[in-house]
Amino acid sequence: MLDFDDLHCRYGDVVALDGLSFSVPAGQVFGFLGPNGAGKTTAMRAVFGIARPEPGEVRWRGRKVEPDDLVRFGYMPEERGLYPSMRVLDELIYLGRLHGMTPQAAATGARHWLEVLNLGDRAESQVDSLSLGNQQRVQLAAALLHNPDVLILDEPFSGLDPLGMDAMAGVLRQRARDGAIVLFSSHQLDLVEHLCESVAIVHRGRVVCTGRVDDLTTSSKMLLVEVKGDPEGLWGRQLPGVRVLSAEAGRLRLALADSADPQAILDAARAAGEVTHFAFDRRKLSEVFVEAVAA
Amino acid sequence: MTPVAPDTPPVAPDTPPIVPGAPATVSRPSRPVLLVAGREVRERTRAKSFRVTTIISVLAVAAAVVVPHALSSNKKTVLSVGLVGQLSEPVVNAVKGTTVVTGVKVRTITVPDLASAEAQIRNSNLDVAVTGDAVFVKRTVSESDTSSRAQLTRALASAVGLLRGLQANGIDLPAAQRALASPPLPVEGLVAPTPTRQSQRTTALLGNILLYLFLSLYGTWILMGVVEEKTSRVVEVLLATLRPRQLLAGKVLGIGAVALIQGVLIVATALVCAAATGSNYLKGTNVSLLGQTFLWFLLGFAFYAMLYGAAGSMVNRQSEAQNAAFPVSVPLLVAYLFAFTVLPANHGNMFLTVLSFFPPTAPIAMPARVAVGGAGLIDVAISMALMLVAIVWLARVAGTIYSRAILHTGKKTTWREALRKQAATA
Repeated sequence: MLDFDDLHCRYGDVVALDGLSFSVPAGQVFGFLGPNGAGKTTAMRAVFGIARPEPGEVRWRGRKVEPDDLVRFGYMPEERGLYPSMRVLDELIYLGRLHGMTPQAAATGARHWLEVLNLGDRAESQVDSLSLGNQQRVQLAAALLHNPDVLILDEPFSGLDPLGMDAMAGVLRQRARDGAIVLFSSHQLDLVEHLCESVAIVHRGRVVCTGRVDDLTTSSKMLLVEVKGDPEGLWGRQLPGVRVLSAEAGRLRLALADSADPQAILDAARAAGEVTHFAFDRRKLSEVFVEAVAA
Repeated sequence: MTPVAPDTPPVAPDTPPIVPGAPATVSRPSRPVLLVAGREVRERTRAKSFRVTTIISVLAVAAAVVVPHALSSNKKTVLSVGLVGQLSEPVVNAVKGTTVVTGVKVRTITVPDLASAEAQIRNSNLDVAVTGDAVFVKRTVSESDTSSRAQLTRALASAVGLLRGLQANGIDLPAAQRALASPPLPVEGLVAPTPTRQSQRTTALLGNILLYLFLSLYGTWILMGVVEEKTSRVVEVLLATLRPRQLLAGKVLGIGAVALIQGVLIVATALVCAAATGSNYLKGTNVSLLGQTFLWFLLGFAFYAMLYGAAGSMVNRQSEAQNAAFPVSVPLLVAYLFAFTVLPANHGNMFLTVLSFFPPTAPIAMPARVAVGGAGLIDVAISMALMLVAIVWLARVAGTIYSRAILHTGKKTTWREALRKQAATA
């Protein structure tokens, strides 16, 4: 378990973290969501002591994360960075050794991950001769090389092509299955919804919503109703305890408050036209997100 | 975007659960600073540009020592002396005998008359012409002129004059000539020979040039290295396991080692070439002076490496690097230029004394002061002690500035801001 406990952090007058707390269990892929500037990167940096929360601390296995722990952590920062003029393999070996690996183990691990990430033939290339997408794969390899117990990835999917995204998703799942703590941030909510078991949504330096994706998307009632002949879905706008989340070509996604009566909604729909679809549905994670951030 | 279904197996089909080679548990590297330093040494010495500049520098230094020497040994070291008219044998012998006294090789040429001797002197066929009454040269020779020609001229004038004086006093010429030809007395020194101050100054001058060049060159390496790490953003990956001070220390150590290798190679080339050709450059070199210069290089490097490192950490773009380096290099430049004006004049002054104790300028100013005889060993020891204190203090301040500025992007950090942050955390 990795616990973020009441982190506060400010840069001058800007409050980056304002009492941020949540916990990431081991063995699952955990998504870290939030609008730009919400504090995700600062929180991730705080794990490595790159940002210094004051007050607040990050705990791993119940203890405050100490510098000695960090060799068991893997990090992929939002702003990717590698030595541009080093050879790929040399660079990975160096980063592996900084994580306490022997040169031989680092070389074996580096070659392995380059193979997995389809870069086996670029081991001797200079980093800056690689495309940005491939540099990102090297960056991922650097984070994974030493088999970290804690994997922290800041926007790992941005800038990847679909194949790269699949590869990345596969790797994250595998690491979680191996029992590691896997935390990554992303703005691609559909992807997160499919990949993650749990998420935390952060807004203005605080976690506004956290939990299992299944629970979050089923916690409140969602009705999907389709009425022919009313593309705007005007019929649903005035119903008590009902909020229209979206209206596309007559398909309305309605969030229901506890007080809302589904039968009354059905009646209203039928009054508006022919009802071709009427069913409870999960909320999308993006809807949960918008609601959490708007609150 | 590719939505990934929850139960889809990993797309990379052969992702095994356990990475071969990766240990189940890893421990903190025992010497992270050495790892960082090792990378600096490997990457820098591997770079083509480093190898090329090293080879060029070594060749240039070798040429700078050998070529002037080769040119000067090709120059006419045998001087031509014109014997005008019918000179008596003792006079001719006296002329030839001046070689013994002066060590200047002489070729004598008989010239029929003064007019043709004058013509030959004017067109440089002759260096000196001797009649029984006078010695002729192209330009009058001053007392302080130490060239071979001047020495020979003075010796000729004195020998022939003496001969004439002896003859005028009724002393038999052949006997007088024999007496004149007798070798000079051996000179016994009571104290072991020391290099003359003149040549010591020459060595100090060369040492100063090297110190200035090396300190600013290798300091700039540190700066560029820090800027590269910051602008490529690799620093954030590194700082996930390293403390900023470890990273800076490793960089200083690694680049320092490479600088030392290159510097020693260059200086050794100069010394070997100078020894092999018997060049004048080495005449003033003694072990103490060399040792002191080397020590000052180490101290100066430690001092400036940290300063350049801190300056580099405040830069956000490669293009700002030169501007950031400038304020750091000012004390070096001041000390260098000032030492350069003092050394030829051969006496120190109050300002030089101040500079020689002021840590940023001491590495260059103190050796200069020693060379002009203005400082004893005690002064050197005090100055070095001050320098060490300054280095320890700077390690703290520069480490803090570096730690705070290295991840700060956006607006360029100013020295004032960095120092204010330092004060706030102190």
